[in-house]
Amino acid sequence: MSRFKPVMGVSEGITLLFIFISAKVFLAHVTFILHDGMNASWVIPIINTLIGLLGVLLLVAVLNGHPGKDLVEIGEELAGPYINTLFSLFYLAVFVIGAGFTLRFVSERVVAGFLPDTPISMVTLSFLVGTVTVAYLGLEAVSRTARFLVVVLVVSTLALVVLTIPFWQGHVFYPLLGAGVWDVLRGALTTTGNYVQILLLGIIYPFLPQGKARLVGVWGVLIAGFFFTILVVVPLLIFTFPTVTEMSLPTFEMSRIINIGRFGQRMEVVFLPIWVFSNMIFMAVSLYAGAAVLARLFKLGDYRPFVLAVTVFTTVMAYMPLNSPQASYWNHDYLSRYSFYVLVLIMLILLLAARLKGKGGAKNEKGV
Amino acid sequence: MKRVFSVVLLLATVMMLGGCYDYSEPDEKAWILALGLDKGRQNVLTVTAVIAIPKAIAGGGGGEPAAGGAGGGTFFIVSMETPTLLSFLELLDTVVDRRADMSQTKWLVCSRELAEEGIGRYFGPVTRFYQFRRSAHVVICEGRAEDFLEQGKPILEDNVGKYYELLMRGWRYTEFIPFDTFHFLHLKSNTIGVAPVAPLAALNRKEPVYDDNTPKPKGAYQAGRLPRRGGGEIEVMGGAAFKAGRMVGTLDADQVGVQKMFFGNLKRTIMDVPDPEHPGFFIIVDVKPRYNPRVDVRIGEDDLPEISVEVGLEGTIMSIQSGEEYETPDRLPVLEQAVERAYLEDINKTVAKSQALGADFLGLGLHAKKLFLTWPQWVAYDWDTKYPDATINVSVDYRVRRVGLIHETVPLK
Amino acid sequence: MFSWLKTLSKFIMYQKPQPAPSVFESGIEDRPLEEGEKSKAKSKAKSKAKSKSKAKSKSKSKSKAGGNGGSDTDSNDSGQGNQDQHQLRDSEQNNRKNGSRKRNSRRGKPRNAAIQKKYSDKVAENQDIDQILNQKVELSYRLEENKQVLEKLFRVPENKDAVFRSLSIGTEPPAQAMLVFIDGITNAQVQNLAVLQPLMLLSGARDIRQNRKGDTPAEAGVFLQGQECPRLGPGNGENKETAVYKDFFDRVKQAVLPNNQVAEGRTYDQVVYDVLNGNSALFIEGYNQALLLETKGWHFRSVSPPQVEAVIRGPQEAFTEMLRVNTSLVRKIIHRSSLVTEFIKVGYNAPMQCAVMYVADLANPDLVKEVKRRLESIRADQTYETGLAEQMIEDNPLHMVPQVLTTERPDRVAASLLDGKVAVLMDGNPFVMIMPCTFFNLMQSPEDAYVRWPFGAFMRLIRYAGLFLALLLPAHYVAIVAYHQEFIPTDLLMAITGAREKVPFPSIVEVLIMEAAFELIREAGVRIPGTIGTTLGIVGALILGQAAVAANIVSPILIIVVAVTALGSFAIPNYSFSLSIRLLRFVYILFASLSGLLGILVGVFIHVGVMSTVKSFGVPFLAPAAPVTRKGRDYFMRGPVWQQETRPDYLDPLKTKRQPQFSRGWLNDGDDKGGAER
Repeated sequence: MSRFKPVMGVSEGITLLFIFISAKVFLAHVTFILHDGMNASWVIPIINTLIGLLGVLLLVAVLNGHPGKDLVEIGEELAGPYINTLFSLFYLAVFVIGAGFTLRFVSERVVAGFLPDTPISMVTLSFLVGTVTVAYLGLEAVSRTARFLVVVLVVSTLALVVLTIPFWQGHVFYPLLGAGVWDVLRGALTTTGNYVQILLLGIIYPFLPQGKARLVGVWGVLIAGFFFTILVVVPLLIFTFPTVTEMSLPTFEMSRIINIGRFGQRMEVVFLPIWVFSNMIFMAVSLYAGAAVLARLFKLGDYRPFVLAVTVFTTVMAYMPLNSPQASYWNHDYLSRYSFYVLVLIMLILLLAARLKGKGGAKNEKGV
Repeated sequence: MKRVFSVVLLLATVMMLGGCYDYSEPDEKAWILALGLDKGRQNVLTVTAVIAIPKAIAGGGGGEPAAGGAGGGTFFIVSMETPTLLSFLELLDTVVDRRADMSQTKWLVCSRELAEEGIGRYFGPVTRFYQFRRSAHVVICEGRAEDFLEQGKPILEDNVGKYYELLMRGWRYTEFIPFDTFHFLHLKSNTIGVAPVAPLAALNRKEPVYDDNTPKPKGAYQAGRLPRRGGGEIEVMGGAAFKAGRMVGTLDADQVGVQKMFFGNLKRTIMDVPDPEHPGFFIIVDVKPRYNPRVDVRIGEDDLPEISVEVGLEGTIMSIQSGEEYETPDRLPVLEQAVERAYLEDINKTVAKSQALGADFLGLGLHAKKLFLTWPQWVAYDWDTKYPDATINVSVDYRVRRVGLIHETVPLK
Repeated sequence: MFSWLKTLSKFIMYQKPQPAPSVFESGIEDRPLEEGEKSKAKSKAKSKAKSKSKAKSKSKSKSKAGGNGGSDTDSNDSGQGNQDQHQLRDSEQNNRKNGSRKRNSRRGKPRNAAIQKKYSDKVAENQDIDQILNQKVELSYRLEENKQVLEKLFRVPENKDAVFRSLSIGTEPPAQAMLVFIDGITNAQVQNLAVLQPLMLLSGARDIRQNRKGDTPAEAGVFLQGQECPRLGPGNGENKETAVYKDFFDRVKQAVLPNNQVAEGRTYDQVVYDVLNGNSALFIEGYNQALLLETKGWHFRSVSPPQVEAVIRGPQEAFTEMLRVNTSLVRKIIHRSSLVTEFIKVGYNAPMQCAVMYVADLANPDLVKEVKRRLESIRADQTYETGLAEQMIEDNPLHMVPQVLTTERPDRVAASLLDGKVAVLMDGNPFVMIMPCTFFNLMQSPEDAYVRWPFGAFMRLIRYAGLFLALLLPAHYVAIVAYHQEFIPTDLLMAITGAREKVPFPSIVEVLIMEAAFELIREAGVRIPGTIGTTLGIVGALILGQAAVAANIVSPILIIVVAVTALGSFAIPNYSFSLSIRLLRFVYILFASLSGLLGILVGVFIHVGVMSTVKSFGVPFLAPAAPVTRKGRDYFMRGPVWQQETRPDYLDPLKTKRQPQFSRGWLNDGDDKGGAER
């Protein structure tokens, strides 16, 4: 499979990107946003999306200067191998940490809600089996799997939202400003890390159709922003402000209160595909992207030798936190807060280097 | 390809060796359909579990269904003295051969005695422990919950779980049964500016409740004070108002209806209105909310809220006992005003009760929230202490929309 | 993957009553040396054979072109491409022969060394005979010699099928001739009336008439007596009528035999092949050619209603075992001059005639080329069934899904051809392969298109539901009953629990028992002789019915689950796809029993991931859903027929538009351009 250069359509690109960005919305990450913005938290994902949009445009500007190359190669060309190694390690860290904590969360969630007697290592293993297989099969497999399963994801997510409409309470939007303008804004600016996953665009860029990167990036971020927003708003509408902050898994609780008559209760199992599929796609993407970064870094043509290596990193990362609260706090502190700014900084350095080297600018205008 | 396959195969084998941790057959579990909480006699709590006997419900593998006998024999009761709710779950496994499972629990019954002490601390496990559900009902019962559950045998159903569920379903077509499930109970307990109302239930009171037969509106009854004969032992009527996780008082059925109307949960109710022109006769009308009550809150000069409520109702004439012709368009307002007066009285009583208890179970605070810009300001206002002193004006607007199958009554001659 | 298993099993089960071969015999010691030598030899042989065959084929084709140029009636059913094909196969056969013999020696003695030694004379004889075919020995001028060689080839007199009919052509003087054919696969009527009668009785009449003109006295006699055949070129005789024919042989072919397809054979190999295919070969004394006459006439099933892919609305005819009938069935539907039928011989030991059909101005040439390339390259021992050929040409033989669509319906083939796909028909086979094939093709039935579209869409929806049920319902039953009981409504849970009280097995065992029983019934139902077929129904009803419940072996709800699963799997229109679903169902049951719904979902994830890497002739299996390509209104649900405007994008057909946007010309008055753009 790796003999051929993988091909990826715009649709798959968008799907992959938006799932990769928004998969975490099904986990505990949302809770931190709710703490920051109180009952006006729904503004935060909207602001985040706008910031993410700017980030993606910046990223595309860097990428379009060098068609056919991914971010690691561009960094190599512009910043030299040594600095680029640092950059690449950052990319790798984003993928590995993200995948590791996601693996931990989703396993914890399954253990908490579905298989309480199963050791977490078993659950982790079964997730890894699936994701490693698909990641090993390559980007085409990952993206097509994502594209095929996204229907399930979107339909179940919307069903989850729609079925909870009887529980929505309109008064949650008041007081209108929530924690206050500055607090909300600060909350938004310190959770931009939720969009650091736009980095994926830099890895899959060479495989996208020529000139479509901006389209993919913008739509990926917008759709992710949509899901981000509704999955912050809807728990807020259902559980109202102070209560919603106490839940570790708002979407899980949403599925648990659905009640359509005596027959349609206790439906969390029906929505299990949302959590499992979205996070498995997230992890498969992370494993692939991590392996791809390593392959570029070591200048190997094939990513496959690194899939297992990245899997090991990921698993180690997953078991580093001592308990699940620590995992979510670490994730928030290390990934969701400021990582996005690091990415933007790298982009700016690369753009600057391109300007200085002279050719990047000219190409840039052509490419964009 | 081969390598991938063998890796998958290998891992599958590994999984097979270690898997099946949670595998359990449904006939290896004891299904708890209701839990009762009482003040303990030998420990902190007496917890009671209603455990279903599936073979009696299903008819035991192709045999005859369980012998009717008023649903007897389809469940059994285990009461134990425990320090906490969840320790009971483990203790139960020493008595019941099958592993106890609460994921099908419909009712969490608290005795009134315990509820008045405060049951907020027992909500913790319910929200945290995965087997409980927010869609369960918290029911407050008069007397001890263990007796209540033991004697509450269904007549129409074999499955006591269905019995519990259908009893609570009454909120859709009567005003007597509060709507709040555990989800809302918990939510409203946590939120400033609103208080929950839980369903009130009791066993049938054998001795008479009233000593004369003067007219009393049907809504004046509540569970435990329902004059009746026959039927199942359990009755659910009226509500228990909570504040900060502690039961502070009971609401009669009419008050529950008003409370539900303020949250848009009242679907319809039937009202017996005294005939304005024929004392001793009743006009019976069907009442449905026309819109959710329009609440307008202002903060007065003394920093106390001034609330005006506009209630819009509509309905059908169901019966006019006196035979008076109220149906003509010019006479209808007479009837409408009578209904409005009657309903206003209900609302005023409810509001007064709510202010007396200091529990804003009408949710007026949720409307007051809109006056504030940020959450901290709203918290700082301290609604709960100001609410009892608020001035509340209510206006009711009732419209007769249709008159049923009779166009104009012909009086009895 | 299983090679080590095979080796192991071979190792364990090796029980030949012979002493183990010595180290030297097994060739461990001297392998490196031999290998080097061998490979050298092999490459040499290869290059030699290649150059030889190349040269030969070149000369051959030239000569044949010359020969065919003169005769316009010369259209035999194996065709020219066919003969080229033939040569190609032979040259490669030669290569292989050399190679394989060498390979045998590398592994020491071949496995049947003892047998070969014992019958060494027989083996040698066989090899000699094979040489005649492989080296393309040309026919002899002598009739007797030809007969001897052919008798050797056909193993006459042991073999009673081959018939050598001597005759004399009724000319003056009579010419000796011989008709060779295989009894039973030729049409005796045709032979009698169209071959023997004109040769023996009517040919003379023409001769006499010619003789009366008296320009070439006894021309037949002249070259019958001579060893060489004198050419009657245009310069030789002035006679206009005889000048049309090159020689007597040509005249027999052109003027005497009223057979509809006649070809000339020059080598034994050609003759043998045609004779084996039901043609008759006519040898005439003094000519080193044979006339290959179309006299095919074996018995075949007539066109009958489809057995597997029945529809209610739509044509009720299916392919038969006769290749020519099958191609005609397709051509009957597509009246289009660009519909091409190419013939390819497929296989190695007993090659099979195979027709590749496509619409030349629609199908992507690369696709056609690839299909032909794969078919031509097959070196299999047995390829007489499409199922065998399918396994030789599919992209990913390790995957569970069929990558070639097999159908017995001509209308389906026609529809696919008009989409730009390629169909491969195989002689003696009522199933036709259509390629490429995607997941959505496998779930379609031709009837979807024949009924009005809402019902077509509905039927498809039902079928997808059936697929889901067949694949996942038992697994979900296990997962929910054993892991996620909270999801079951209380009443149902009580019913399930109550019914299970007396069942001794865990749910998973119950499910496996019942599914296995059902598979057994289905397998037995296929194999059961017709006369006792009714018993199966009774037995099946007992196993899958009340008796099992009454005996407390299974719970009654499971019976429903198994029954619904069975119905679901019968709703899958494609047989081989349904087989894969049947098998995968057990994998999912296993997953479900391991970790409930999580296991199923992980399984689905891997399943989809693996499926998305499958390609059928370069087309991704999940196209057009993943990867997304432009979709017509006919991939998941069936859209109205007037909206079917584009051909599937993933096929890259030469024309993407099926029909103009306004395909219903009557809608815009007067402007009936409807089909004009075609």
